[in-house]
Amino acid sequence: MSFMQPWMLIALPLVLIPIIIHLVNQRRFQTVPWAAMRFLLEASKMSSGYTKLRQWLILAMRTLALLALVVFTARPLTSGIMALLGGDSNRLAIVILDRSPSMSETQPGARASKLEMAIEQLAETFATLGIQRVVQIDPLTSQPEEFASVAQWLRGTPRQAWSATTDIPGLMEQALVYAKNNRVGNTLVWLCSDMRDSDWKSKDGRWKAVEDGFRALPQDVRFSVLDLSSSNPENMAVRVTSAQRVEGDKGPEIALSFRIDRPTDFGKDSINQNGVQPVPVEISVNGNRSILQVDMNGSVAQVSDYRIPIEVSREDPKAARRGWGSVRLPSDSNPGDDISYFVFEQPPTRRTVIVSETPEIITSIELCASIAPQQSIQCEAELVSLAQIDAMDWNSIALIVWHEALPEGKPLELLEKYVASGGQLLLLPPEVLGDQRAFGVQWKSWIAVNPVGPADGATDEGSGGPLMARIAQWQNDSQLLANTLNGAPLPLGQLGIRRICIFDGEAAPLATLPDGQPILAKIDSWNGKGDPDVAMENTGSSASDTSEPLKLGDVNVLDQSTIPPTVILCATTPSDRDSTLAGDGIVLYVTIQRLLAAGAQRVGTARHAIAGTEHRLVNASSMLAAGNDTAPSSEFAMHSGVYENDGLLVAVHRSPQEDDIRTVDDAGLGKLFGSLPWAKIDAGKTASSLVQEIWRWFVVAMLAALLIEAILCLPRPQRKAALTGKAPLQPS
Amino acid sequence: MLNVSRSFLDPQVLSRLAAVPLKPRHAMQGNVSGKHASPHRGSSVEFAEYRKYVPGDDLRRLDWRAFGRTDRYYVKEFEADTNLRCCVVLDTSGSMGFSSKGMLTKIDYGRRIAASLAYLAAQQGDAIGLTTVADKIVQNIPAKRSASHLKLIFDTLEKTKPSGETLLPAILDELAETVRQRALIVIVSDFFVDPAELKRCFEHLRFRKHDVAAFHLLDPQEIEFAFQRPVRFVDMEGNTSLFVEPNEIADRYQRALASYLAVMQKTALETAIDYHRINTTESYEHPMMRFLIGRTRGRGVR
Repeated sequence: MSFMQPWMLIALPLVLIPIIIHLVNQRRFQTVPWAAMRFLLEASKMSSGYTKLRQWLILAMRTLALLALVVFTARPLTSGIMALLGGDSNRLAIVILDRSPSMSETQPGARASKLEMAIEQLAETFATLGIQRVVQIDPLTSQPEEFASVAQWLRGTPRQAWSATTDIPGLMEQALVYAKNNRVGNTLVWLCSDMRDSDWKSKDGRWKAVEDGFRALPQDVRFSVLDLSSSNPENMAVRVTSAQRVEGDKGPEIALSFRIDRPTDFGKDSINQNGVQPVPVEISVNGNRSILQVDMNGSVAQVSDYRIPIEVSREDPKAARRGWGSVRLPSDSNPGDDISYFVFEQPPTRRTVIVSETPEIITSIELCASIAPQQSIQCEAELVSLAQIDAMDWNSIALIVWHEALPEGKPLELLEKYVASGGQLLLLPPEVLGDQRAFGVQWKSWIAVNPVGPADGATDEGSGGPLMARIAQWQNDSQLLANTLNGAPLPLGQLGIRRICIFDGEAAPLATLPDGQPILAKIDSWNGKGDPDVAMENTGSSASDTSEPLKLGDVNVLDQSTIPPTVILCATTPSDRDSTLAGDGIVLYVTIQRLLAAGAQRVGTARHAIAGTEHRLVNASSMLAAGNDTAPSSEFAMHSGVYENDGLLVAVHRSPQEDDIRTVDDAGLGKLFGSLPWAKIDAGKTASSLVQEIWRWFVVAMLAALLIEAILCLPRPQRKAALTGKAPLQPS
Repeated sequence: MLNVSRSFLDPQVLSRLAAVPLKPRHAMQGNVSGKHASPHRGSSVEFAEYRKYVPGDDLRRLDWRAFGRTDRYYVKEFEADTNLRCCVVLDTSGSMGFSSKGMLTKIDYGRRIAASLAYLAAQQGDAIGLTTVADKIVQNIPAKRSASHLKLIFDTLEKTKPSGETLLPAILDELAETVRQRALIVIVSDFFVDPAELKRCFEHLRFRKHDVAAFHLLDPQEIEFAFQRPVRFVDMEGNTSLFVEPNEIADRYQRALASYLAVMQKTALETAIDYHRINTTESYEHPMMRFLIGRTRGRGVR
């Protein structure tokens, strides 16, 4: 319980008055010589029972009446959690709203979404508490937004959840910065969330910094978490996992894969005789709708490679080459996850540029880069000399294989721009290394491999050449060296390495020899450069950080949007003198094709993006093709839908972390907040204030206590006194 | 004979009480001839019975008329009249010193009863004795008839102070054995002892053919227990004290007292003693008058 006027509680000791009077009365006894002691002793041995209870009840009622009076004058509020407020209505309220897709769910029995309910409840609460100043940390810009009044805050707060996860630790950091910079007084930070771990990021290292930062503040900052975690177990969510335009027998088709999730199995009422639940799914392609009955057995249903013909109209023949569509579920409690969009186009040519003068290597790379993995994909490779670099069409290149001395000057600038725009670059060590440094690395020298032992080494049986080393470790959880579609690992262990070029610089090893020498390494950033989005994703907000990376192949829409533009460093070459990369060509081919698939994103005009991660592709200048038409254009990147911008067609997907329904419990919150004062309030299903004045209850309690006390104090009806009169004293 | 300066004697009350004779309920066995029935045959004018002559009988008591009619020897017997031996047992234990504010203490009240009885008995020529008791027999004055003896009793009563515990049952047992049979034994006490013990003592006295009368003195404060504030009650017969909240305990006290009084009443009925429960707010004249009148209803059974 909290109080609007807590200073009135200083009168609380008054409740001791009846007890003190009782004790004083006990001490003001008189001493009486007494003859009939035997009756007193006998009476004291009798069961006190009701008499003693009555005395205590009277005392308790008097104390209770005074307590109720004091509490009543302090203007109590409901919810013990609100004691955090300390009754200071002049506190500043900092609001952090979780606008993740799950917040658009309508709780059972509620009439509005969780987000709307939270906003209305907060407004009512602020009005009840008399809070004037409200600061909201904008989840889009992470900037604080000040409101002079609660009404203004209520008008200015968007009530739509978006499709991106909320970075609550990031917003907390911004709240800390605001509190520090503005030297605010006592502050109450309101966090309204459905407690999804994907939003709270409970394992994020920033929480510790946030805790330390708030604790170091001189002012009193408290945290109140509005818990909206209750959810409808029958809510279903759909997600398109793959959408690819393929040429079918009767014309172009969409090969569509999607999955439907729900937190729990269907109840017995809704399953049919076969034990499955039919779910009608509406699939729309270029505006043409069709219904597909998906049999859902359990909590997951997956549809793979469902073919939908693309209508070719004479009016718009381009629609057959490029377009968009959606997969929609019947409306349920959360409209935010009932639809998933996709875009498609005729796959662009995956163009590889090879900068090398070594024919053996050129041949190997050219072969790997020009053979397409699927019929519908076209691949081509082109040999370019250093002199021709300036004249290249950089926008059409998906992959550059650089087998020359590291670039410098103008070529390096061009390459950096290319990489920053999402292009893939594979660096191979040349025979003549040079002393240039690019992308933060420098080739040092060629060395022959040093097999650790007979078990690790192997002679080159064909040529009787020197011993070879095998790759000992590689990261199969990375996208580049991930297992194949059937789950088998890439045969990197079969490769033989004869010679490697050691390099100097920071690069994350992807595959290493037994002695720890990296064969394949990844460079994400160099000299402070690199893709800022990449840097952001690496802090933990990227889909690639999920504990279970999606491995749905190179056509997976999520994969296409999550492979960051990187520079891959290979410490050897496909030359027979250096390795068996060319001879055992599977690894080389898969690597080249995966890099091409990643690089093809910058080439194609139909792209997929995760909400909240691609502000470059989708921004306020984008045109909404499909999706939430009530969303402000500044938030396009945060809402799922299809957007068109500068010739690009981008499908924004709901953040995949949202499919993780784990929530942060009280113990988890305790760890996150550490020693900071915090409390959790369970949000109700109505938009009433989280706090209400309840002084009336205490008036009633006081009156009731006084009434009971009066009844208990009433003199008991006189016994038919056989003792007090004279006559009864006479023996009969 | 009467010292009017005695505080416990009121001549007017005594003169009113003297109008009613003090009679025993049973035949008494005195030393000399008196007004009261004796269990033995004697020489009064009241015919008792005929009985057969046995050798040794005084020939002067033969009924010659009966001999003439029946040709048998019969001795004519008459009732004997004797005097009364009245023993007043006054409880002088500490509890008898209790009184409500402005009221007589129980021992003062008992003193008046004892003195009045002594005076009445002496007036009609009966022997009067006094035994003051507490945890033992404090003073024992055997029953005598002389006027100077009455003075001794009054003096003793005047000097009596309440002190000590009540060990009435043991003392009554002792008196039952030491007082000659067929005496009037009047016990004036608050009887704050175990009623079961008392019953046994009363039965003992009755067994010795004593006529037992009991004046049970109770102070109004003891009956009503009208206290408001917490009180530390100090036992008048010892050092024990008890701190109580009167409001809490009054109910149970009343129950205990009522139970005790009921048992006393039952004991009195079962042992056939002349039991008088007295509230000390009442003038002692009234219970005394009730006592005397109650005994005039019939002649003592021989």
